[in-house]
Amino acid sequence: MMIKRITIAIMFAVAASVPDPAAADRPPLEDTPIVWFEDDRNSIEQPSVSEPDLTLEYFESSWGRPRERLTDPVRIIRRIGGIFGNDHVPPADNINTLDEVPNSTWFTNRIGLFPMTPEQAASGPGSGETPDTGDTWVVVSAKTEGVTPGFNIRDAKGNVYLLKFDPPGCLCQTSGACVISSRIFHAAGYNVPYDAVVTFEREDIIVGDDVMFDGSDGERPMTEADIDTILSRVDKLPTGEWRALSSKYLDGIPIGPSRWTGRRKDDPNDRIKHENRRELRGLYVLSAWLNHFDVKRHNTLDMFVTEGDRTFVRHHLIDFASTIGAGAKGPNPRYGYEYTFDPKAMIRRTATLGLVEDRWRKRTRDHGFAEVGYWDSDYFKANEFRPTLPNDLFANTTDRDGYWGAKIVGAFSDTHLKAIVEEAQYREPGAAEYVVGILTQNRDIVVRYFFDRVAPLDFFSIVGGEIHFQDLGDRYGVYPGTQPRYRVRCAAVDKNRSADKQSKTQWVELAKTALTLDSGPAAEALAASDASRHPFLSMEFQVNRGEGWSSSVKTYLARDSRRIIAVDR
Amino acid sequence: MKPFAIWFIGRRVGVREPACALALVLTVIFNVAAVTPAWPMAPPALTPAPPDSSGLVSGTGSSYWGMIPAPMDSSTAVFDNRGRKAWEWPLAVPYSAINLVLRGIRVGTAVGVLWVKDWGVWRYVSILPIPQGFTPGVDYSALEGFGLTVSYQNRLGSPNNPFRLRGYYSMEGWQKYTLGFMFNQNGKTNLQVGFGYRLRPKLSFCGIGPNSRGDHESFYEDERAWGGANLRYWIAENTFISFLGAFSSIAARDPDTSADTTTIADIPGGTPPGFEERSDGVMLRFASVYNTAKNLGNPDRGTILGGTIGGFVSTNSADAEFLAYRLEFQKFFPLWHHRRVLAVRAYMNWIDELGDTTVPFQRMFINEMPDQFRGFDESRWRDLGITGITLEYRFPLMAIKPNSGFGIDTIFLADIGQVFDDLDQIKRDNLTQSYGFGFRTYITPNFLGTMEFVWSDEGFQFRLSTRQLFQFSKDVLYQGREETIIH
Repeated sequence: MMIKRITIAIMFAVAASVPDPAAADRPPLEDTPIVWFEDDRNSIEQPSVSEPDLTLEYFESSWGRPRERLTDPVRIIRRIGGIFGNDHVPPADNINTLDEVPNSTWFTNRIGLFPMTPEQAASGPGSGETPDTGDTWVVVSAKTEGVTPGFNIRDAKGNVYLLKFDPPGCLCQTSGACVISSRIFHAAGYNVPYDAVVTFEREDIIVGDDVMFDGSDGERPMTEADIDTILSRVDKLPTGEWRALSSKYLDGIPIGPSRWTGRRKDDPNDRIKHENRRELRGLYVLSAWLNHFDVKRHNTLDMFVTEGDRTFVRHHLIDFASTIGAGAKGPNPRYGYEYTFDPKAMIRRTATLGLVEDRWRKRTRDHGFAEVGYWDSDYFKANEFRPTLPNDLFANTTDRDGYWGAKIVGAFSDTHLKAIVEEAQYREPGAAEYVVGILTQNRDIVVRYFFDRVAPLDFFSIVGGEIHFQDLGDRYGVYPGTQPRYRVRCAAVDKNRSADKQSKTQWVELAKTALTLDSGPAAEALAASDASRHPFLSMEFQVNRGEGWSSSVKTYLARDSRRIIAVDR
Repeated sequence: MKPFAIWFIGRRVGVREPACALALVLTVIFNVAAVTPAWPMAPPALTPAPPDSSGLVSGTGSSYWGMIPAPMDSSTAVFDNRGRKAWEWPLAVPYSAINLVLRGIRVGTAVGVLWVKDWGVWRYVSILPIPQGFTPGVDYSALEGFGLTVSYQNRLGSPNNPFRLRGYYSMEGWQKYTLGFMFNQNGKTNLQVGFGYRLRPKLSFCGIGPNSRGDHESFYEDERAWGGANLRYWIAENTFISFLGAFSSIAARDPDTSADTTTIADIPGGTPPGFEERSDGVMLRFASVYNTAKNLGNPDRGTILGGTIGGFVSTNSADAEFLAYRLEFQKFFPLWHHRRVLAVRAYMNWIDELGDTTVPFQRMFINEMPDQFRGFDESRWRDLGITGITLEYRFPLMAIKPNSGFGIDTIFLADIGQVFDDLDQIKRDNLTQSYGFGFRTYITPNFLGTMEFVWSDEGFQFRLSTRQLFQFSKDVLYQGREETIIH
């Protein structure tokens, strides 16, 4: 009897969690302008500075929150519902009706929605703002602990930069990775600091006044000898110079890292739980592509900024040293492939008695470039990227979120990537080309993975009397050797997406990526229905690349205004 | 489609029609309800946001969706969180209540850690006069209970002249204190000098020989002290010979425990030779060892081959004289993948009594480190000889630093062996077998931790240890490992 009751309860919950195609989790259709801006820049008081403890974050990320996710009955039911096509979490909360992310203090649409030149992508968030070399750089503080030492310096213009060095024996690895990844994240739409490679000689740096130094003998005034000591731990270029990464201080007042779950409660503009923000869930795709395995909350920074008469919080991603196969403690084949504490991998190894080798163990650096870490595509799988710590955002990434990220990743052309990688100033002949090569290969793997799950038919627009759309799979060239076919069926629908049965048409194949409104299925559906009761036209598109028809992408047209008002995937 | 599926599945699993109907109706209700709940967009704000000023592309302009104009009221909105669906509440509320407790523990732990940090406790701990070279260790076995080892390593002048002081005390009163010095000369010769004291208040005795019975278990107190020197000379890159001279004294007596403890006098067969006596004597020994296993504690390849011959002369009233032999072979086979290792160890120790003398039972071989049958209590088996094979299959469980091997390995283990007083006694029927699994973590060459779960036909043993059977016999006087020098 008890088993029956439990069965009923599970059946009921699973059934209720499965979205009906026409309804669940979608807003009612409205013939209103598309929302492209999130109103999160209203003036606020400065929030308090948060300094979360890294040790606790390790514990919470590795044990606490994964345990909660694992035992949450709602997630369990949703996962079971996945058999019927449900997502394991509700959709992102900050998307517009076109399934896009509006601009906000977190994200600004760039290469995903706008044409961007390679030069724009390579310029990053600044305008070439490296430390001014007209005068000596004054050290205002020093970082002595950790594997890689560094300085904070002020240049002649008064700008403050963090100078960071590559780990010993890894010259160019982390500095190159920072430059490349910061530009890619910026071009994608995220807020990042301006990172660039600089070189300098010993006489270019002096100690500032009243700078304190926390050495092994306790805190004391810093001396020139301390600079010598720090630089002695850093590899030199053959020219005798030092190579460093300069990271320009962000504008505003730092108020600590962003939360990965929940929201900053003392910021009234921060209303959506972060794990439910599309651009943060979609960060998985870029992180996987770039092997950004250290994508923890401590590598984000909220800045309290002033723009005109407004004061608000802007959210940044920082520190990309652990990307492109590099690592702040040197390259490691496990990074990006397994959590530091990874119960699933441990169970797998135990269950297979060690007979099955870990994929990442096979990784080598046989590319031969000392300036490049473990950077390859042979063992890369888009859905098996694992940062060092389990990430709360990525635990919520759905296929739709992944598709959104993949759309952005695919927008980086080979030319974009070549221009960006040039900024890393690799010295070994062929190293830059190798990095670009793997970037393009892994880009295609990532994009293909998500495009296989969500049909990449996008950017619907009305041109004359036709609905035009782009097949991003075709445009990005991730399905080489295939000849795509498209089909559509139409129906007149009400605001709740319920179709007028009379207006439903059969599937019709399209000769091109366009649908005529004045004839064919669209015209039939419109003619067969009452515009006052069914004021919207639903057009359901699918693509076939030789392996059957894809999932559907539904586009909605307002009959009155003849505008595209929504897209469902 | 879904309501039909619910009805069909429900009926198939034997749910009655009214229940299926209820589930069906509720499903329809909740899915319709899902259409209308709060859509995240609230009315537009009155003050539109300015375009982003940091980038060259500011999120406005001619996009693939058409023109995205500068922000205006109609294209700007406040987004908010989507509420829970109705069906989630009956699950989420009880779960939250249960989870509250666990979360409370987490938060409490977090607050505690932060408090400790804020008060600078770590800093105070770090400035305590704990000398560098201090290493703690925890061991556990059924007889000893939990024990704490503290060792301190430093040097006498030159870094080539290390010394090691070690103390161990367990909950059952087992104690061991050792001091070892090593003097290296030119890297080719070294001299080890070591002293030690060990007290085992309740050591097991089940009789002598491979046919002794486990249910005849009794206990006695074993107290021993030793001191000696060992000169080692490397005759090749991987081979050394050594000469050892050591004095040792071992007393065996009734345990100083409660009256209900079975003592040796209580079991059939009478008291063994040497009981309630002290055996003092000098051992002179020659050994030769070939060793290509480079990583102490965690080798993945290499061979250790060693042979020892020693002579013992009693220096007190017990006139025992004997020759002792030891052969040992260890090999680490790298298997199919990275750090998959089969570690094999075979050994044989035996004593030849000289003349009419009798070897006191406390100098016989017992199953103890490193010749352990891990499915049995330490000292369950005892005789003039012991032989065995130990197998460990090791593979990584958790790879923290895969290149250095630092991490946690899983091991599957088997110990097969027996005691004997004559080579004819070595036969299949007398062999003991232990099987089990465990975990071993390798942090530094001086700190290796193992946790083992082992079964034999006499029961189950759980062990925690910071020592290992393999590579045990290295630097015995320096490390204070008297088990291999008293015979």
